[in-house]
Amino acid sequence: MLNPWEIKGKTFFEKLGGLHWFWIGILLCLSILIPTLHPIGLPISTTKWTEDAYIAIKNAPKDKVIIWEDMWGMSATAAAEAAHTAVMRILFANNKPFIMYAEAVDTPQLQQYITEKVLKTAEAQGKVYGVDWVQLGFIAGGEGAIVSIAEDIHSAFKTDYYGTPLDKLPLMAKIRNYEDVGLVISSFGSTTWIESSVRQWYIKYNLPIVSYTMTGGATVSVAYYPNKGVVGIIEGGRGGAELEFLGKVYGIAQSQTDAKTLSFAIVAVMIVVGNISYFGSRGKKKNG
Amino acid sequence: MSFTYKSFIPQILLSAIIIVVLLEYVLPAGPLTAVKNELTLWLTLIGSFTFFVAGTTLVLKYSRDLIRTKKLSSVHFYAIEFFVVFLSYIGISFLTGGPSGKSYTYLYQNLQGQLLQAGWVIMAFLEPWAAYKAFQVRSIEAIILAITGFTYLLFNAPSISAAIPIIGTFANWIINVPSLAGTRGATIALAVGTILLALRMLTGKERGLTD
Repeated sequence: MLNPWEIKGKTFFEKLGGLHWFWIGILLCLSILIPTLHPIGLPISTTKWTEDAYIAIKNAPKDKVIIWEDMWGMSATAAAEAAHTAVMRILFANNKPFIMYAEAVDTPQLQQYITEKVLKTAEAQGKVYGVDWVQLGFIAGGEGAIVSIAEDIHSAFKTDYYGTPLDKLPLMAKIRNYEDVGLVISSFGSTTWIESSVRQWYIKYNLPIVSYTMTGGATVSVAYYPNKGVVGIIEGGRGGAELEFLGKVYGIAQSQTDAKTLSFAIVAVMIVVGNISYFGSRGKKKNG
Repeated sequence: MSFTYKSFIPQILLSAIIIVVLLEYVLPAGPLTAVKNELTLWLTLIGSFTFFVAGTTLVLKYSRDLIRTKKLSSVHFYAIEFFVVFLSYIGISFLTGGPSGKSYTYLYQNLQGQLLQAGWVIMAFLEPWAAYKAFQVRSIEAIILAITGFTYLLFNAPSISAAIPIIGTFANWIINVPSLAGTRGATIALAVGTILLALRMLTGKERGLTD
């Protein structure tokens, strides 16, 4: 079906089933574009997962550092931007010092992009790089890298992402190993990465973890929630919108929420239409 | 000698590392912790080195493409495209303060970042059509997929679940009961499989690793 104008089938139901993907795609694009340009302001609900994640971040011990291990990349900016921004703004608003490192090669670029945006917000005013937060950059090795960082972060990294030696960053003097960590934010896409975080941060050192992931990762994270390591779950863009609402750090998530609601509603309608077409065509064939 | 070099020594090394890591994991911090820490540092070093190997492999592959393909074709185009991008990134990185420098960051965020996102957008463009076809309830499995997928889709549309709370309740049941049971089942099966694989590695029966 290369021609979008071509509609296959003889009966109405068959024609409905033969609708070209191009028109459905166009409908979806419009449902994303219109609310992005003109936010409608649809209401949202918050989930226990995000509420718990917010409380965990807010109540993280003040004398300890938050570790933010990150696997999100630039390709997922659309899904990550709202929650990354909200998490960072909430950390700043509550004066929680944090250290970010990357488990994927293009994550530092995303972190830099988000940081530049967050630094323009009210919560970031007066915050100093090296004192309130540090960006360490990429480390290879997957779960093995967590082990290195947990045991001695100064061995795992010699400089930060910008090439500054760690001993020149005041925040790094407050942390040597897992004993100086108060909370771990583990962010990743639809993978089973949370199992590595739970094995290394929770089972070995009893450190609480906030899982910040996409839907596929949330279904794995829930196996360790709420009392087996994962103390809260932030689920992608939706979680970002909820965090903005809970932390009162309003940003881009509102327009994303509208777009998400409309586009998902269209997909849901398409599922229904697809089934009407299927059963309609089947009925006709049986009768025929 | 060949057998010793290729198989026996790697097997001994592998078994020794597995024993150290396993024992350190279950024992309180002690002398083994320092050994394991050193080993994991080596792991990150080897992990980093694989990027160098990957880069070298790509350079060799595209160099061969350029040299061996006689007639001008798309093979040349792809190879030249690779070298232009590869050398540009390396050059900009070296000349303008590394990957955290302004020029590299600008290039990455505004070129590569946008292209990567475009890949997702194309996928999203086709997704509703895929749902249109895939969620047709042709069998019992398709009915289960359609019900769970449909519910979770509506749950993830924040305003719909805010307007119809029962969707949230049902979605939570799906994720906390059948999905959780499935995840735990898979995790347990994976753990048992990993233990068996580790035992095979330890005893030298997993030949593929050292042969």
